[in-house]
Amino acid sequence: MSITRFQVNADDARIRQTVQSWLDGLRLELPAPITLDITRGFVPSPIEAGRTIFEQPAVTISHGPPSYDLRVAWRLAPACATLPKDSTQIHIAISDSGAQRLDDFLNTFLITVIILSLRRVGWHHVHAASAEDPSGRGWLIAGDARAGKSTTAALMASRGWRVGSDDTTFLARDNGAFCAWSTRQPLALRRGGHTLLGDNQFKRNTRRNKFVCWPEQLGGSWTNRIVPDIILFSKPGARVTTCEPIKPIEALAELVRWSAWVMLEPDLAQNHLDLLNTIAQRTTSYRAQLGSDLFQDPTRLSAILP
Amino acid sequence: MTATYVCSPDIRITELDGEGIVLHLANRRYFTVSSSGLLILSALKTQQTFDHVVDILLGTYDVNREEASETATTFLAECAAHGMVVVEKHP
Repeated sequence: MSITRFQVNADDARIRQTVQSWLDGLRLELPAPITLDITRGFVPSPIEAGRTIFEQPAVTISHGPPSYDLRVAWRLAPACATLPKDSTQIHIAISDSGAQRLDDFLNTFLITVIILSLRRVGWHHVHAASAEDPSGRGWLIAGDARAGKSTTAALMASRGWRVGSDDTTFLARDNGAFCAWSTRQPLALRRGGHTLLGDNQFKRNTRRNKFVCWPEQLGGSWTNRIVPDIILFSKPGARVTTCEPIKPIEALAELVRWSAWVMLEPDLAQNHLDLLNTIAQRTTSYRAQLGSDLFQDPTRLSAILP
Repeated sequence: MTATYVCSPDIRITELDGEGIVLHLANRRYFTVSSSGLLILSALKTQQTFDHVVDILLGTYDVNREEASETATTFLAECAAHGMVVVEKHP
């Protein structure tokens, strides 16, 4: 069976190869083709981009008349993407100065464009780690940047779990059910989690100021897809790990919070919201405090669930 | 002077176990609403008068008109304050 991946067209061969290689490395198996047309040179002024509707680090998302296409502007160097409402043909313009910073371009600008383009094929980003335990149960761990997602994902990998992502997960419908897709990216831990884990497989990533490692290096494996059974909405900082069950309506509110792109693009919002509803109903969710006791015994996580 | 109420085009609603989550896309905020709130918002997909909203509550819950009016008044005022419902005054 052939796998659908991103198609990159660019007038600059170096840009095309770099972007295509980065996208292929994410190993996303798309449900429908998405094409990126990249031109190097003139970048339209942000003034023409309409009303700002969302801001990410280094990126501004806007839309406005006459087309109401989504516009993504990069703030580190001139670059801009146009995402038509009903199309998966994405137009990107990058300046000469932007082309000199392709690593930043990929990891701060293009990743946002990818997240928005995937919404057009029914994949909705959630700020969550994903994993599958040895008994086949799918887990999502949602929370903010210091919620312990990456460290817990690394602990899971160290116990032989299949780990999808430590941060970027896409929720999608799947033959009447749902699943969570992951990008192929290394687990990236802050110094604290990395030190506590005490594993020398990690390499320092200076750009992100984190320590990175593949799940395979910790004894686990990578999976591009899980079916979530359990969702933890996590906070770090406790000594002892606790999990408190929450009602589906509370889980839905949390999913809305951590899948904040649901608020963008009115035409896509209802489908996104309904998907979160389905997942909230069909999973068991907990508010979790992830404690340092997990470093002694990561299996405690599944043992303490009611 | 009479008033009519209708949901803002900026909101999206989903129902779960009798309660609801309402997104306000323009404000980028979300709200949890009770079953009676969900019932009212569902009715306000088309423009409705206050009396019609009260009648809907009376037809669904075991309450008297005064209680239903109080519930409708409070809920509609909160919705209007958060931009979830548009109020139109008619002479």
